[in-house]
Amino acid sequence: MTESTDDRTWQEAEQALSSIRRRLGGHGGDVTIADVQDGTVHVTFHAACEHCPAQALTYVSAVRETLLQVPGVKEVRAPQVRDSRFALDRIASMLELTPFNRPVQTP
Amino acid sequence: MKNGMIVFDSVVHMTDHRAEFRVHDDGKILTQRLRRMHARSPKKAVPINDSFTDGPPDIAWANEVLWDKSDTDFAMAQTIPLFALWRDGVSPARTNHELAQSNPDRFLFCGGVDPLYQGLRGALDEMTRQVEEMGAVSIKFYQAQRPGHAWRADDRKLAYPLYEKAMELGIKLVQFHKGFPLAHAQIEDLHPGDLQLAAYDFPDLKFGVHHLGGVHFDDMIDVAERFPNVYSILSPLFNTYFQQPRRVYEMFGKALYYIGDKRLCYGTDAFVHPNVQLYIDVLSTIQIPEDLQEGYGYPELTDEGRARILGLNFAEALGVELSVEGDKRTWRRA
Repeated sequence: MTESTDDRTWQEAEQALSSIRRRLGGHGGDVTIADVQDGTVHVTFHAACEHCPAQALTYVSAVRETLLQVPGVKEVRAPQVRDSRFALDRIASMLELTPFNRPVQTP
Repeated sequence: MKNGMIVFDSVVHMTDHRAEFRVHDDGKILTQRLRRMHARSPKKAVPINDSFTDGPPDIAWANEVLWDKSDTDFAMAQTIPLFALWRDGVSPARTNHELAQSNPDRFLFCGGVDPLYQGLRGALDEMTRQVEEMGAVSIKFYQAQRPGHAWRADDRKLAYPLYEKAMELGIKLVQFHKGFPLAHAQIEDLHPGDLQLAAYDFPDLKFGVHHLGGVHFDDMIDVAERFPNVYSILSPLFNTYFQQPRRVYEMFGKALYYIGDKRLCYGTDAFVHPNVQLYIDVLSTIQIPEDLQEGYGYPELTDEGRARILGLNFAEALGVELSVEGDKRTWRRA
């Protein structure tokens, strides 16, 4: 994927994230995009979200799921979320959200 | 090196329990408690240095234990300034400095002072001496030595001048004994909660917490999770693996989950158990069991995380650079 494609993805991801950020702000938290590389969006949680026990739930159910709807986004990574793959898979499964390690969609 | 990873033992001690240096009978309690604790080790799997309370380790033997009989690359010789029980502390600065000087390319020296027993002015002067004349790159504190004799890490008049002096002397990391009461020291005096305000007020200084907070483990995890300049020294977690592997998995998994792999540091508290290679082997192969990953969400330990914990994190906290070229090991201040 070219740099300009990632730039365009970044812009659209920012727009998609704006509604989530308002909701997180209501709890004293925030999330921003740190990088976009080859369709993978890397996000950073801030303030109250940094050490929130519900961080993994926010990541899987709100941030990741929203960003995966943006054209060109293949995956969303959040290095601060240290939950095991079992926990992340369980959240995605129980909420009927996009599973992790799903087959990569080719355009 | 272990599997290409640098091994930096964050804490070894030249302990000296000899009665002629003891200044209070509570010292006997500590010696007996340590003997009882280590008697619980499965001796066949984890040989004990039976004479560890008889006198300080022989320096040549200590070098052999670390460099010839294990994959350890670097180690920090740490002072224990326990002046309430032993005249020079139970691991005097002088003997730890002697050990460090025996192989200065591989040992780093950690000093230690106490503002109650030396007075604040005396402690500040001694810090300066230990850094400028003895080459200390860190300072260790023992805040609770006897009942009624304790100080808090967030005491603005007593503790903050120590941190200011440390920073003035170029020290990046100060270290605290937490949670494991020595003799009759009170458990509550070793709670890590007092590091919160200190870490907040000194964001450019790093605070190392030993023993995972001991009985205050959960609270230590919470403090380290929220304050990015708090590091957790894991010793003696892996020393207990052979008695309580399940407990080690649970504690290590929880630390990885909440603190992450960038602020956990390997250490052994040698030389009670002289076979430190056992602990290196444990950490270089340990994995969080799948049922804990499944049931508690604890993360896998990655190869990168393993390398960080075995040595890179502690070097980063101290502000030193490590070099391994063939058989030659050297370190220098970054």
